[in-house]
Order: sequence, then structure tokens, then C-alpha cells
Amino acid sequence: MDKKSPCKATLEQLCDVLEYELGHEAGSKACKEILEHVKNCPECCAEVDTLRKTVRIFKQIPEREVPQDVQWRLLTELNLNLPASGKIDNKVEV
Amino acid sequence: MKDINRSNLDSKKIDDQKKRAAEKKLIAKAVEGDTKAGTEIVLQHQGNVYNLALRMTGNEHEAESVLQETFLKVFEKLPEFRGESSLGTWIHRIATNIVLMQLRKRKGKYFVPIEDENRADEDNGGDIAYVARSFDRDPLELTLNEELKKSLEKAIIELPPNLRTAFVLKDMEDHSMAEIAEQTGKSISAIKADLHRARVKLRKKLAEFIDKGASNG
Repeated sequence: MDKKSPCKATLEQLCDVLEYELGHEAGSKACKEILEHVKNCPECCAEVDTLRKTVRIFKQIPEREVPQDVQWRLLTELNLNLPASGKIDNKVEV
Repeated sequence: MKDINRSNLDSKKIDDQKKRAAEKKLIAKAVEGDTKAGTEIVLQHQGNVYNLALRMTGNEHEAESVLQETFLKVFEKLPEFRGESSLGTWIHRIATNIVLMQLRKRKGKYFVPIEDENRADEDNGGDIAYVARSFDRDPLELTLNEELKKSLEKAIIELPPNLRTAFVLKDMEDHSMAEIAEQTGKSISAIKADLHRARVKLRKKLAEFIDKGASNG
């Protein structure tokens, strides 16, 4: 914890807490200590909770389809055969 | 319960093995010059590469250029592919290196830390009281409609490049901190700081969006 503001984890530590919370990486000892603090501190709890929700909602953005003209140019650049149907439907019989 | 879990694990393992075997066959055919196999590889993986490039560059033309450069490299190097990772992971790694190189070329000072006017605001948490009030309406309950989707995509594109790199690679593409550090040539601490600043900036944008939605009814 930062001595000047005991309620605020450093950026790095807060990041570790989130990685742990989001199930990305194993929690370090420092991270687990901060988590204990977060549980009992409404301000820190709001900080972690809102960041976690932010990450989750951004992760929900669906992937865009590759535009057909982009696919055609790519296959042409690679000298690859276009599917026999002449239609790119992302599945070719091999 | 344990038996069910074990049976699920076993069937997943068998599926993975079948997938790997089919992939190996496809690669061998493509290396021999079978253009249908080559096309299949492109069609299977182009979406991931294009979306990574689009999120990282925020530009459709640059994303197309990354896409083409990636697959040119993939087919050049395919005979050397040893299958130590899945083909998708290997292609993704090539694409990441190409997109990072493209971003470096853009300004020549890509990895210089950017001191922007919002730094002080971020360091105090981007006004957590305001954010917490906005988040009273749980953003995860929002419908991800076209308008929200576009706003979120725009928010990512508007991040400074170093923050965008950390956020896209870690939070959207699930790379490990160590991988990102290696790919960008930065320290893990620096990546963590960039990631945190990116998340705070995006949270603020999201709070504004929720607020706007609430005031519009």
C-alpha cells in the first residue's frame, strides 16, 4: 500500500488484484493482502468492482466479420484458389 | 460428480487430439502446395487476425495490410512450423508482431510514454465517486446493441497506442503479461501501469455512456 494514501493500492498492485479476480493469473501474497483490505473498504471495493465490470463488458464486444472484398484480395495476394462455389463461406472442402 | 468431470475432461482431450491431427494433415497438404488446404487455413484464422489488427490499429486499411502481411509470413514459414503450439496460437503470434511493428513505424516513438492531460485525473481513479454512481446501473445488464458496440469500439481506438496495446493484448486477446512484455520490449511493471491506465480511461467512458443512456431514459 502507498503510505500517503493507505486506501489506494499502487497501479501495479491493483492490476495484480484484477488479474487474480478475473482468473487470469495466480495471486501473489501482496495481491491477497490487498484483496483482504478491499473486502472491508467500500471505496476500494467500488474501484475494483467497476474496473472488473469494465473489462467484462469490453470483452463482450463481438468480433467483426472480415469483409468479402478484403477476403478476395487476401486470397488473390496469396495465389490461393477461391472456393469452387465462388462464394466465401469460411469453409472449404479439402 | 468426479466421474462426470473426469469423463468431460477425457472427451475434451480426445477432441483436442482429433483437432490437432486434422490440423497436422491440413498443414502438410498446404506445405505440399495444396491450394484448397491453404485456403482452409486462411478462412479458419483470418477473422482472429483481422480483429486483432483492427482493434490495435483502429483502421480498416491498416488491418487489411496486417492481414495480408501475416498470411504471407505464415505461408513462408509454414514448412518450419513444428506444432509446439496450435496453428492458431502460432498465427496469432506472427500477427501480433506484425501489428506492433506497424504501430512502431507509424510515429517512430510508439513506446515513449505519453503524458496526456488526463494523467492526474486517472491517478486519482478517474473520479471514482462519479463512476460508482453511474455504475449503480450495472453495465453488464446493458444490451450490447449496435450503438453501445460502436461506442465501446471507439473508446478503445481513442486510447493512446501504448495503453491500447496493453488493453487489447491482455484483456481482449488474453495474452499473458510476460508475453506482452516480450512482444513490446517493455517491462511487466510498465505493461501493468499501461493496462491500469487503459482500464481507468475506458471505465470513465463507460460511465459517461451509462449516464447518457440514463438521462435519455
